[in-house]
Amino acid sequence: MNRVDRNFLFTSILIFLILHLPLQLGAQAQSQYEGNYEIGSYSGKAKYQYYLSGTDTILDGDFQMQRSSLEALLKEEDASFFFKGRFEKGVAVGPWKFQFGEYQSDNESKVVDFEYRVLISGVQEEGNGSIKNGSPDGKWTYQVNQIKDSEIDKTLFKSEFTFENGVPQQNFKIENHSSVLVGRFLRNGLAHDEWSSYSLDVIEDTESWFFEDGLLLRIKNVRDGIPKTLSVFEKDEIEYRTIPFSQKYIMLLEATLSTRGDSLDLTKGISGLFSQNETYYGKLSTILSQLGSTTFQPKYRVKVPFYELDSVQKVTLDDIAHNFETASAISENLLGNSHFNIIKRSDPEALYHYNVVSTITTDFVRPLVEFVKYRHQGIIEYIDVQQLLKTLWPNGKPGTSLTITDGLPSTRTFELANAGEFNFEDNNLSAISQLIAYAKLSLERVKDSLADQLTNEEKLQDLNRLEEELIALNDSLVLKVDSLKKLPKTYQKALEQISSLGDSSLEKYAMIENSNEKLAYGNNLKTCLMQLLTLADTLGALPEEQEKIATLYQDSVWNPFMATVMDEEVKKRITASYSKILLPYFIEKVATAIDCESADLVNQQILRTNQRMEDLREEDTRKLERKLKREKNPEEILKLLVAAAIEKED
Amino acid sequence: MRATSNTSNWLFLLMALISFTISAQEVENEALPLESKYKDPTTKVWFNTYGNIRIGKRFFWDAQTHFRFQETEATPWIGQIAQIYNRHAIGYIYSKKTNFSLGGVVRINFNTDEDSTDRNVVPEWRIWHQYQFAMPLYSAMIYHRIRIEHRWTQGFAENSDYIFRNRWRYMFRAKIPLNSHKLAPKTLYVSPEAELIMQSGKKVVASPMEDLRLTTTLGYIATPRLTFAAGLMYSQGQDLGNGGIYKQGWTMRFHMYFSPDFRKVKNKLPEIHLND
Repeated sequence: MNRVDRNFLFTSILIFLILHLPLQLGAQAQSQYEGNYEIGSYSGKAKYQYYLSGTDTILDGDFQMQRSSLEALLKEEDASFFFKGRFEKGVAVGPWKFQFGEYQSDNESKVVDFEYRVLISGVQEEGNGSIKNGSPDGKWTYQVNQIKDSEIDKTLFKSEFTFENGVPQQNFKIENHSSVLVGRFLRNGLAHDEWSSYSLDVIEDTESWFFEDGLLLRIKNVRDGIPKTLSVFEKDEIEYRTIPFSQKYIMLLEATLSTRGDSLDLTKGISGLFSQNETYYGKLSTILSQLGSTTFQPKYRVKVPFYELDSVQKVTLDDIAHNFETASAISENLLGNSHFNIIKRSDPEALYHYNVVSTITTDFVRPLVEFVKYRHQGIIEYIDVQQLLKTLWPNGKPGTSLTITDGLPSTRTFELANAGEFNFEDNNLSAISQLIAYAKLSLERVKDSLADQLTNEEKLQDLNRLEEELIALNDSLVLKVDSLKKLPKTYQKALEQISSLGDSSLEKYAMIENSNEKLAYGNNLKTCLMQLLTLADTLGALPEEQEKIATLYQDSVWNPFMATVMDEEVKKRITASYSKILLPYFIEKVATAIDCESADLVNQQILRTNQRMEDLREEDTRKLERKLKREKNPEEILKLLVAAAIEKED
Repeated sequence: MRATSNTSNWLFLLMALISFTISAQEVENEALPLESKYKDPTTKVWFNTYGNIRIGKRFFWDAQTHFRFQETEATPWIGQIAQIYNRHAIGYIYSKKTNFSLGGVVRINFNTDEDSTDRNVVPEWRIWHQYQFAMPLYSAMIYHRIRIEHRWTQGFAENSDYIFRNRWRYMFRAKIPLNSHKLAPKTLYVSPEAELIMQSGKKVVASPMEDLRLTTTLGYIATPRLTFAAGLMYSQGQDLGNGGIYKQGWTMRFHMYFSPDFRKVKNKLPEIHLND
């Protein structure tokens, strides 16, 4: 009977465990955090649930973070924020709310019921909507309101979108204080049909973009009562690509319009509103990304033509960009060289060169600025390059031979000797590549021929600067030595020697004719004078240092006969070696044998010795003291002091 | 024969020390004069060494050896050896300004009576304790010293017995630095001192004032552990045999004070922080 019972019990427990195993394995230890938290530039108090996976914190559950400071508000202004939502295994889900506020108060409070109330004014931003799998899903609104005395005074911005898994659907509306935009997307997120905006202030100003399956065909706008129609992309291109509606797309529109010889201020109107909205959503996306949920950015899509480049073309593009950078750098350097700008006024040859650089910059380099920018931004493949190139030199490309006249007595021609090898007549990438290569080589030629003239002058300027520094340094050296006249007499000869070494070196510098030698000598002299200054400082501090060390080597001893505590000098051999042999040796060395080569060495020796003396006070020095007893040679004593240090380290 | 007698003396001394019973000693007292009589001053020279050897954080060994000379008829001051004096004690440092000592003295007394036919040398024994207090006063220091001695002496006459006396000594002394604002190494100081030595005991009938010493010393602190001093002392005191008769003396004193410390460096460190 008993046995049956026991078996039943075991079986039950086993079954129970087996049934609950998945539950137990799946369960992760959920924790809650409440306290200070920081997301990028947002720092405030947060409350959230999470679990740990390895060393990663995975948000899971409710999340809330906020900051507001009454103190800051009353003082000046408070920047507050409030985020609230939910995460599931690190991914944002469910309803979310984001609020950002910048408020001021009038510093007046009143009591209502049991609350103190302070009225605030400022700007409040609020983003509201639902998230599914980290992406916006359903209706989303983003509003920016101007608040006055705790009430909405004016809506500065408002956008309404409907998303499905991050893909915008159907109609949307964006408005700011001056205009309204309405448009729609296809189910796959492609812009479609007419997007139109109208101004709230000037009712006639309108702008419409006509999309067909994401492809922007034309833009119609009326600004200041003048209607204008711009065609954008063609319907009969060979290939199209779908790209996000982003800043890059707006740049592409700009570029495409310019290949048609058209232009439109895209910071305003539809693209302006859309960009503004994108900025706000970007803010939310950044916050969520920093919390680990990275897929918030809505997928607004458009279609654009695609002109595939082959590998040769790509290499050519790289070359163009590279030569363009080099040429721009040289031109910027030369045109901005102050000395070049001065000598061109008096020297016709310099003026001629200046004009060559200036002409090349205007005619060759500058027209390519936009082109290179497009490549850099990665939109060159969406642009019809042939078409673009045609528009770069509306008045035709320059030739290899440049005629320079400005301000010159007679017209001169600039042409590279190997100009024949270049041909940039054609309207293709290879021609542009040759053109910019020619420009680069020409600029390099000019730079080389100017090199001597410019560098000599620069050298002279360097020398002048150096001389000023040398004189200033020597002046401070003289001042320093003067200020140390109060030092004991033994020091005076050393100080005089330092001062006269500075003087004589400066004289020697003045005698050097060759500017290269002068520069080299001067630079050394500068170092030397700085070292002499340091040495003078060290000497100046030496009596004080000596006293400090003497004090350091004193023990307090209680004399029983006097019942008095007295200072007793300890390790006398060391202190005697220091003050009776080493210090006089250093001073003598400076007084008799100081030069630019040894100044730093002596200074270091003195400083190191002082440091050694401080260290030795605490060390066991019996061996050293025995050795010092016989030693009177300063060089040997220095070695012994250092050796004791090394021995100790061993 | 002499040796036997000495041995018996030693034995006797031992017994005396243990039992503290002192046999009466015959001192031939003369009648007090109507007026006190001052003997001519004796001239003496003392060479004294004072050792103060640190043996612990609070203990030291007090070791003093004095060589005392006095005039002969032919030679003033340093004519003959008078006493060789060994004073030892263990001292306790209560604070930097206060210390106490307890120890013994053995003094070898030489017979300075040139006409005497008695023994030339006799020992003298003492147990002593001392209480010394120092007080800073401006740049100087003043010292109060109370010293109490229990003393066994004997005369030079063959087989003379020991007599026991107590000595009560108080000394006041100042040390005034001359070339420095405090007592420090390389300092000369002047030290006036006055010591009154009173005595008591069965044999002390009419002469309780054994000695009054007035001294002025000039000293030099060579290092914290070594000091030299020299001075001149005038002293007077009642004759034990006759309280109406006063002895006088002029003494040149030469002192060396040394205070070595053989302890390991790390033990020395708290030297001045006795109360930490």
